[in-house]
Amino acid sequence: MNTAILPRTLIEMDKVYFSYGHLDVLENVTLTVNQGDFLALIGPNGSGKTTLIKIILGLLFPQQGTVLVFGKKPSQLNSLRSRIGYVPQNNTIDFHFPINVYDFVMTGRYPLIGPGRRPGRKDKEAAHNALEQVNIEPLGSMQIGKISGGQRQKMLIARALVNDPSILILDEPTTAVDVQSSENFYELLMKLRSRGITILMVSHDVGVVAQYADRIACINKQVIIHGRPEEIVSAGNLEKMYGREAAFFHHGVVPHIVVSRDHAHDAFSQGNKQD
Amino acid sequence: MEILQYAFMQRALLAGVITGAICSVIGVYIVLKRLSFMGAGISHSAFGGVTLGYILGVDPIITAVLFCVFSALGISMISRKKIVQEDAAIGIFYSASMGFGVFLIGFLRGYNVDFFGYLFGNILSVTTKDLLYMSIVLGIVIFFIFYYYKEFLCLVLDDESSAVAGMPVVFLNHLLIGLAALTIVVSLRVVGIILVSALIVIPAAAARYVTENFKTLLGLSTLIGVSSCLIGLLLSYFLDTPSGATIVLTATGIFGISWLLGKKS
Repeated sequence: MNTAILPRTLIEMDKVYFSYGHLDVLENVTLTVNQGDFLALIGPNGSGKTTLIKIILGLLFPQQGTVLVFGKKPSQLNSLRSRIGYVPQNNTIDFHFPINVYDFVMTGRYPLIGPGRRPGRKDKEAAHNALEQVNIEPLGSMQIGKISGGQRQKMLIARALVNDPSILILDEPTTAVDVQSSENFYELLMKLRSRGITILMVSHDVGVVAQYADRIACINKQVIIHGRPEEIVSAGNLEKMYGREAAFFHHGVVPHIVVSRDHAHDAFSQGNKQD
Repeated sequence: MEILQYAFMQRALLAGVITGAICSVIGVYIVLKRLSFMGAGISHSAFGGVTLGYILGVDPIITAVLFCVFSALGISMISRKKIVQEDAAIGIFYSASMGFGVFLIGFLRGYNVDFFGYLFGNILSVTTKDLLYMSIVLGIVIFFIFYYYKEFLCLVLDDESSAVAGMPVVFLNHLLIGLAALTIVVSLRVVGIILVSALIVIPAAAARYVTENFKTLLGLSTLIGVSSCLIGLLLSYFLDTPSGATIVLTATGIFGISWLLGKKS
């Protein structure tokens, strides 16, 4: 992969403020993502995690503060956009759409091909390679709704990989995916990371993410803390972010389950059964 | 066939083929993008344009195009800026333009204007000039659907990821809605303001039951749109029923058959 022309800091947010009308969503957010990082953004629902990545992706514009992606403003990325692989929440896709897995992955190449042209040999190779990288090449001719949740997840990643990106940005990628598929998914991410792809991922699943990410940023309007997983879980940081009603079960150095106190008892007894 | 000897019938058949094709092609994108109600909203806005055309003494098709494009872009803009929700925006534009049209009719007393034809369609009254407009729009629609084939596919499949990847999705969305507005206006002669959205939505919705391939969907939707117009037109001739209504009911019948076929497979 050609990462030579990119600066070491891929994403830089400095004192970013964002609000929808009178509703403040982000306040004074400062964050950096360097080449080779696996940074997880965690926080409760409505904490502004998704808004934050939409700002990085240039889909939303902050009222204050600066955002630089590859050293440029998100709106001025132009051809550098293809260096970003974006994996949206899977509920944004209509899986009844009349398209097969291969063609779906190919749509990731379309912005590079330009209007009035058909995909060429290089594009077809890229689509096959992307399917191969996530191990779903045999499913290429299946309609996208006829594959499992875990396979859909891989298909979305394949589309994001099709332009050989430098960074993968994933929004809640393990929603509606079973535990086994979720483990496969993290193994895949680690494999991609070992090839030098930087990863920025939004998740609400503190426990699992902490096992894989090398840095975690806890968001609840602000970046509450930003550091290595074992630093994050100490000193009541999670309580600060999720509020006092949350309960945490510690498994080694990282908390495993985050639930409200009302459900804590059930979750805990289930956890004991599994153990 | 004896009916083919009449010039008005030849024009009607040609009009049926053209409007059936353009409505059902645009319909694929409208249905997949879940803009079916937008189609109805745009077509109803045409009414204000048609009556204004008569008042000003200009070709009502021109004023109807202006009204439809204005409404379509207005709906899309105010809902994107979150001033109101999209369904509410459609409701406002559509009823305001209908209201405006009915208000203006009051000033047209003594004129012999076939408003019933505009509302419900009268394919037998299609003129050579109407056919010319239809052919121009057919050419425009075909050009953009081919030229932006990949881009429109991305727009309806996943506009957010496409925007991230650098697709000009706002432009494509406006273009799609603009093409829908043109299609609707030239189809008014055939099925009318009230029924034109049926000709946009039904063929694509019917074709979706029997295919999982996008290109096949485009082809099949066109086939259903064109055959609904032709079969409906012939039925209305032989049964002496209103043409627009018969065409829409024919399309609905094909939809039912397609639904049954899709359920079986």
